[in-house]
Amino acid sequence: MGYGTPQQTIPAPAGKAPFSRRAELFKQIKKHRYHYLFVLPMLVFFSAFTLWPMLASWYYSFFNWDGIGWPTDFIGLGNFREVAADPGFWNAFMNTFLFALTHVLIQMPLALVVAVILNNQFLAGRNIYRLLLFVPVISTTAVIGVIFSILLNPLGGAVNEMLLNTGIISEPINFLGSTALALPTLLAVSVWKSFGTPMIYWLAGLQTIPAELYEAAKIDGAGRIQSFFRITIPMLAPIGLVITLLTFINNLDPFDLVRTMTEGGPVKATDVVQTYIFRYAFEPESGSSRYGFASAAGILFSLAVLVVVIIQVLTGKYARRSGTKGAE
Amino acid sequence: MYRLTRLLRQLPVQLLLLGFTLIWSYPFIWIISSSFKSQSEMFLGGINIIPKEPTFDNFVRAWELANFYQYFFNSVIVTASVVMLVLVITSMAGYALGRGAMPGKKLIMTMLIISMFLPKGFTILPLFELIVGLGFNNTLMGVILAESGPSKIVSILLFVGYFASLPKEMEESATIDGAGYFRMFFSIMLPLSKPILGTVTIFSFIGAWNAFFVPLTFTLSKPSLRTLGVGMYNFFGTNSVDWTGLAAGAVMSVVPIIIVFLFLQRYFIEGLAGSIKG
Amino acid sequence: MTTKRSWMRTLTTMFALTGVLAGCGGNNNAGSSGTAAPAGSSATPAATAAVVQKVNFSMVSARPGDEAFYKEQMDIFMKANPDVKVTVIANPTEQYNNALQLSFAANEGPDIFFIEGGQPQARTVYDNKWVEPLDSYMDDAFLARFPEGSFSRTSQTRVNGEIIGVPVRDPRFDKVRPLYYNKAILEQFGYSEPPKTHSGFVEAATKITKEGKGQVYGFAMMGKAPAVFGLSVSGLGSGLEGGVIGYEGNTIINLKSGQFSAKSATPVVEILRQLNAQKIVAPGWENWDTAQMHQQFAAGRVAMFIGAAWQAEEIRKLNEGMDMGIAAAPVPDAGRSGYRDTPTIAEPRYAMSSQSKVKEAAWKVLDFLGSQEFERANYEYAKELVLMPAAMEGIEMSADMQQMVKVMDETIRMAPAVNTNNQNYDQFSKSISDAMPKPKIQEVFLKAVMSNEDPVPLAEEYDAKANKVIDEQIKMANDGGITFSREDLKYPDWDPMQDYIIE
Repeated sequence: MGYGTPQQTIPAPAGKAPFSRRAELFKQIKKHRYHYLFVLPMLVFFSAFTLWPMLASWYYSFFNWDGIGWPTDFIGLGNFREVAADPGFWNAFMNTFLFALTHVLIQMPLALVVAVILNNQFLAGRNIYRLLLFVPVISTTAVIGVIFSILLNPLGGAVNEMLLNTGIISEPINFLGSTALALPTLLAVSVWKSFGTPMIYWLAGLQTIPAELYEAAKIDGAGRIQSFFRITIPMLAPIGLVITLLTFINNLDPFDLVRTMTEGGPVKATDVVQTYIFRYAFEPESGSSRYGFASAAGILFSLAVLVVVIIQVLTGKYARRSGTKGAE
Repeated sequence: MYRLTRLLRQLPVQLLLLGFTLIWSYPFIWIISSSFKSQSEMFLGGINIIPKEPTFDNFVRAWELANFYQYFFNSVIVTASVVMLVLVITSMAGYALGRGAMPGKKLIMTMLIISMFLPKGFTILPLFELIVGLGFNNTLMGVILAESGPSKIVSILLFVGYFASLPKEMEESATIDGAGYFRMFFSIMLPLSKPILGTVTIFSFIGAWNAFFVPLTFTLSKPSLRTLGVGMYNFFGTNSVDWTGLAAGAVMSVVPIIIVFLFLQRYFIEGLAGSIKG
Repeated sequence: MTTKRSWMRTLTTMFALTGVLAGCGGNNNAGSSGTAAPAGSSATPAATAAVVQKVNFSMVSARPGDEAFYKEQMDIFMKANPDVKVTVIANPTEQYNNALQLSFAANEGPDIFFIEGGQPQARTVYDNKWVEPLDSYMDDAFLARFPEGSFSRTSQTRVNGEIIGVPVRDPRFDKVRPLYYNKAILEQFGYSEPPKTHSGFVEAATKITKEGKGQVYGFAMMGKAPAVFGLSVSGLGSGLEGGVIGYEGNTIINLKSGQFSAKSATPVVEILRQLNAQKIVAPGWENWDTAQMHQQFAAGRVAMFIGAAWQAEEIRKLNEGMDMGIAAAPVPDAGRSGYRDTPTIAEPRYAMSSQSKVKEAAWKVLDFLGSQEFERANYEYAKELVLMPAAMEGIEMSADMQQMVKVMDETIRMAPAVNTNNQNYDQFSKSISDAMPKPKIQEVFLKAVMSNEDPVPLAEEYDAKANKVIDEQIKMANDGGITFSREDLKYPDWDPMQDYIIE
């Protein structure tokens, strides 16, 4: 990620007493006292609203607890074992990853193509196009989910009616009702819904490419497609890594959409980790919430995500390093 | 004349885009059309886009049923405060972390990034306890805090990236002019970061405006403090759904965001560009 | 550039302004609660009638009009009781129980609330000590308003022997699973009457779908969640082997043998599986909930479905002139050998919080909610059968409702509950349902139908596991000092063809 100036740690000369190193640190802290002051509100908010709930849920996950009163029934790793042994969790787990992956592999490239077209400043009406493509992002997911379940209904739904009327299909497509199609359908709707976000990211990235590069390429006789692959793509590569990461993270939580469109069905074909957790935390089939269990499921999931992201960042770093080496 | 030939040359691209965005916007066209239809026409009247007997009833009903007037006002207060709070906190932190090289910076950054990967949802209970403990339950302040507190890390990182990318001389010349730390930030650095301000505004605006779970949770005993995002659920019932009312409500609630977006879109894109460049 | 800057300036001033506004908003809130302070001080003994007691009433909003109805009713109540101020707090059904839990966790529970979610939720509110037992509040005159048996020892208005809520609806109205049919469509395909037997039903559904050519389908069901799928199972299953209860839920128990018996439901699951495999069921049913189901029916695209009683009213709202029929769900070809069961005459609906500081005033509201006047209004608004026959007198019953009552009489009988013999069962029933093998039985059935698997071996396998779980849980309960045995689940003297009445 492109933040921050390089760390300027002043190496303490070897052989000096630890006291002076501490003094050095103190001097540094004093020098930056306003910086600390400025970070302070953020740190307070962060500790209260991010760190504390996180730690609390870690604590809960070791208890058999229904969310009422203070947890007392300590069961160690019992919840984790139960989660790990439940095939339903891993099913939800895979689906959630598929969600994030689809957005990275399908939505991002598509958004790039559209962004390149809309980046042409001579294109008439480009702001309108941008707005229209962005509107799904700003509308409430739950409403979108409800609307799509009406539109995609095989019986009387507008999409099937249109396809039937034009003769493209002879039998209605069971978009959300078949175990084979439900997940792809949800993925498509989700790609549609959040498409504007990576598009905006790419548009921003495109602005960082100097126009002279394209002009030079034009003089060299390169066509549009050529300059796209020779200039646009390589120039966007570092930003692309950031966008990939953001897209991946943003799409790991498709709760609202899944909940309103399929509730994880048919028969759990579209279950994701968030709906899985929700079922145990808030929607007990038997009348009792299982907060500890839900927490354990959430933690197991976030740990797995963390591992994936670390791998992604490391490979990105490695690729970048070897890339620059090649350029030298 | 020149414009005309340009338009002609663009024709294929324009047609392509037009077709694409039309299909893209179809669900919205459908929502708008449904909001003018009667409930029975929507279900029994086929898939025509133009309503046979256009009616404003849905809007009237949506206005009353979802307590639109009151909820709208609450939404405005909550959203505006959340945006302000987030802007202040994230820009200050972003400035300090982007320009300063103080000890502990790396630790803070690592902590922020790691916390990004925490799935939300199951942390609502501790959050709830915290707000209750602070005595803010069933106040708009509780909603605002709970909404602006967690997971604004992307915004912080945007500011960090942007401020880090500004040339060092800027501060130096300002210091020579005798500007103190606060003046430097508020009258020089912050105005420079307009693009990021725009970006963060849009992102937090969207989030706060559409929020459902948090405003519902923190106004459980005071429905008069609920926001539009919660109000929309008045159209859903387990027994029946007021589809056309929902459509009208959706149309009404999305308009303010479109306006904000239109105003800020330029800064939005510039802002992202500025911050990723760094 | 200048215009850009001025835009920015207006925006910043705008934000500054809204910030100020927000501050004011906060102050206003503080202010309004400040003005409410005198009412808040009602915690002090309200000897003087002049002090207005504030009562919070948390309700479920299952239909868009529910909140308005309760507000209107509370206005009527407050006119007669100027010393009580009721605030109605509506929550969407899906979030309701969660909302209730959080508000009790914050010690801000409502004074009066709905018990939503049947026996398990009644148990939950009791176990968590959220409810105030109402025995001492209810005098004989109050009890006499309700039909006999409403508050009997085995009535579900009691948990652990204590009355936990005021009932309103006739439970049979919640239990009945009628066959809704479109008379016009049935006639068009040559049926003057709805099917009465399973084979007649399959035949009619098949014929209509096959000849309907995609315009109309013979049958549809709800498959969005195992719970709504259960409606079709319990409707078609109500005439099956007598003595089995719980076709709709996840604990299907044969009370003659005391055994978990999912297998007894398999004939019906098999019918549904065959219908689905032959593409007789309307496409998309897998993702339909109750609302989608009755909308499709009202649009005339589906000839028959099995649903809940309240759907009749919703169908009428969508399509007033529809030629709709309501009949008893088809029974096995060999004839009826059982009924849809109800173990109770009344179910608790409105409860008082044990944390309430204004219990006297809260009881006044409950007293109103338990009045004939309110039941009458509720019947008129919600079109749901209420407990007190007198409340419905003089109101002309719609044709739909008359049919519904007929179906109720025809298909429902009183049956024992699992805990009728030994109420100690309540103390560990939750652990049993928590420990039931996953996925739960209704989900197993739904999956069998969707993926065309024979339900019988699946049910047998499940029964074996479930019975083991029950044995284990009984043993654990015994170890914990709770007296209960498998024998307590048996009702050998019960004739499933008759009402089961305990003295």
